[in-house]
Amino acid sequence: MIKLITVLLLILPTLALGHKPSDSYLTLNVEDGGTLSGQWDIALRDLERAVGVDQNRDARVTWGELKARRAELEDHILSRLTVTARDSDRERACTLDSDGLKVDHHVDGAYAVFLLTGDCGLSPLSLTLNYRLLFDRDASHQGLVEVRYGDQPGQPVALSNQHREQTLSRDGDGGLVALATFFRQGVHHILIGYDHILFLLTLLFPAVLVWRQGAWQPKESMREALLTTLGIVTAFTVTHSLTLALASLGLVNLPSWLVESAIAITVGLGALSNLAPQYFPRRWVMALVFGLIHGLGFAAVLSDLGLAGGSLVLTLLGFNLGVEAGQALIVLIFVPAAFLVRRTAAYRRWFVPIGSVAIIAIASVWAVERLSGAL
Amino acid sequence: MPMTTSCRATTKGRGILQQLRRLALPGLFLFVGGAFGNPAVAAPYTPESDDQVLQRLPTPSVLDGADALQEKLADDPRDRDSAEQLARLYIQAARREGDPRYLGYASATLSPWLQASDAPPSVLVLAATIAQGEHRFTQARHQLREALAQNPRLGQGWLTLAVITQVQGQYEESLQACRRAATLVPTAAALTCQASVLALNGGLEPAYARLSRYADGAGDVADNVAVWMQTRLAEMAWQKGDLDAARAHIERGRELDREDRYLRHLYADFLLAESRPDAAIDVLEDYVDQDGALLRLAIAGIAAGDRRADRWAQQFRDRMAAAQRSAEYAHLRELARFTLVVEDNPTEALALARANWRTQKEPADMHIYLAAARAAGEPGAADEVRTFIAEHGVQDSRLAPFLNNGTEAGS
Repeated sequence: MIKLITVLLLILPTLALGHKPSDSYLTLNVEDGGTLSGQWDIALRDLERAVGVDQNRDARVTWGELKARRAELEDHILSRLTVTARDSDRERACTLDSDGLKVDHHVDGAYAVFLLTGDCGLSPLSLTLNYRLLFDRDASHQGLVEVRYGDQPGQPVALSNQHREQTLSRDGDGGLVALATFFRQGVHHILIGYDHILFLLTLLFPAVLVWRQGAWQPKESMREALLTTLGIVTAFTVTHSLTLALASLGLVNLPSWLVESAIAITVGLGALSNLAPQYFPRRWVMALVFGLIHGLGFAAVLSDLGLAGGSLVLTLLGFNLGVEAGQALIVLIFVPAAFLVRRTAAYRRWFVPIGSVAIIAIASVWAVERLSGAL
Repeated sequence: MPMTTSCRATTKGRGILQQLRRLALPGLFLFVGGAFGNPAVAAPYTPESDDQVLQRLPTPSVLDGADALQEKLADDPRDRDSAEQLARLYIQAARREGDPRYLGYASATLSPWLQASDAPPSVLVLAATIAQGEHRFTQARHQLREALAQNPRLGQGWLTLAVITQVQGQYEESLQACRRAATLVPTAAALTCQASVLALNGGLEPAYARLSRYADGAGDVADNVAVWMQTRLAEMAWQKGDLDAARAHIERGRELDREDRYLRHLYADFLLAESRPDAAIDVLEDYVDQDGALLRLAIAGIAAGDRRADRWAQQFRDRMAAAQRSAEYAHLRELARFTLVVEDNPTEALALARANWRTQKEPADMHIYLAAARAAGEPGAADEVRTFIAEHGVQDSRLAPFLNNGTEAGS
């Protein structure tokens, strides 16, 4: 029986289906002061699937039936859309209500038009929309969203099951806000991203030392220590910026388990190189090569945040500058402190080797976890 | 010699442009987004009467069992058997109604299993079928490879792989997949699978002879397989230029299932080729909600001088604009045909046909590419099709006129 049923599916690929899958159309106008108005057109067929409209089950949706279900429909759709407003330093959830119901027709049938009002409590420089309508019932559904600031038409974006969230910024000064927002995100990420910090620190442990006669010896001058540090940090920055950009532009795409596992392995190798530096003579080369992998990790974070509609370049720039700033902060705290204690046996004989062994242990656990998560 | 060079250069340039256009989704939005949310297109209104019917909901008969399955799933969300059955019903509904919404329903039904890292092979095969329907061929093949590596006894998986590879012109792979399916699916399906590939790969006459002999003698074939068999036979007969046989196969198929959309479109194309546009309109006019029907109605309408022709063309244009606003895939073959025949814009049609050729290589794709190239006054632009046809020994009476002209013009 199953065989017969499945054979029915055969000719599917040679058929062009209707061209339009399910879409809803959401337009939001943002006024100064943060009041919102707008409309959300949702196909009656989709509302029937999500909530149920055809009460007498006669396969016809009448205006009376639609009106009768209005409260349930509004509850349902508004619970599946979250709008968050940001200005230069605050973030607020916006309220949203439907205060009118009309009907419109698009090429694939009749749509309910919900007239929306809302308030964000601040003059937003960007809105972040999180859209969840219908995905549990129709995985191909999309929300086509446009946010207009004042009278400026916005750029429509499509939100889908795989891409549910999007930040849409006001143009002009909004670009700077995007820059600032993503700069903060970049700083935040490097400061909470243990694996990146650990990798960087591991490479920098011996920046104030020099390997001579089978042991770590203190470097004599600050200048030498700074040059080594600069070399490592620059190499790391160049390559991770490169892959961050390539991945964000969609030119490189690796599965996240692979990237995350590889990052864990780079951390472990970095620590290993502190224990056996004779096998890793040029540390900046290691930073250069492994930076490629860490850049892909940054890109995954950035794509989770959702790229701002029109300004990929600004987003990337902001995020990258944030990462570099956070990195510089770590280096500026660590290297001078290490320089000061570089002559102590505690640093050379205990801190560097034991710290490195501990890092290898942590990195191994990460690597195993991340790899096994994929299998 | 300089001619050839400049011709290649333009070809290449246009190819890149085409790529850019398809890649730059945001650009597309801007381009066709002029009407977005624009109240001038149609203003929202308040209906006057409560009884006014706003929307008829489609109730495809294949979905009769869907509610019961839905309830079973609600009781036990881990009931994979019911989920697969329900997804199958949705895929069938998509195929019959030509409505991609049902594919979205099907993948939502399967998503609890698809999201797991160890999706069961039978679920992957269904997911691949959905991906195919949405023209995501690469993903479909990837899913099929994974499923068949886990369980090589999934006949449906091999058949689906055979169909995709055939559409993409990889006949060796397609034939192998048919052979792997042979012992796992009903004989009629296995034979149809093989004959379809062979008929495009230099073996048209024997493939047709064998399959039609089988069809005449076979008693106990399920209706759906029989329709598929007659459809393929009709296509092969048409390839051979035997129009009477093609008509007979179409009629036999339609006796088995009047509602088969693919066969209906084939029939309409056949009537159009026989210069009987009025008959084509009769066949299709009740299906204006389906894009494939609308495309052919627009073409037939012009040929027949029907006064609804403009309306059909406009409807098709509107649908395309709406689809481009959201869809990640476009049905370039249909769009190219519309652009050539209805819009009478061979240059644009040629660019579309060329872009379409990258993913689809069925005779219909060859035909539109060759026709657009000739209409655009540069028959040499479709030389990659001629090379493909020569390499694989594709035989098709509909293509013959272009091939002769092309060679003359090219040499």
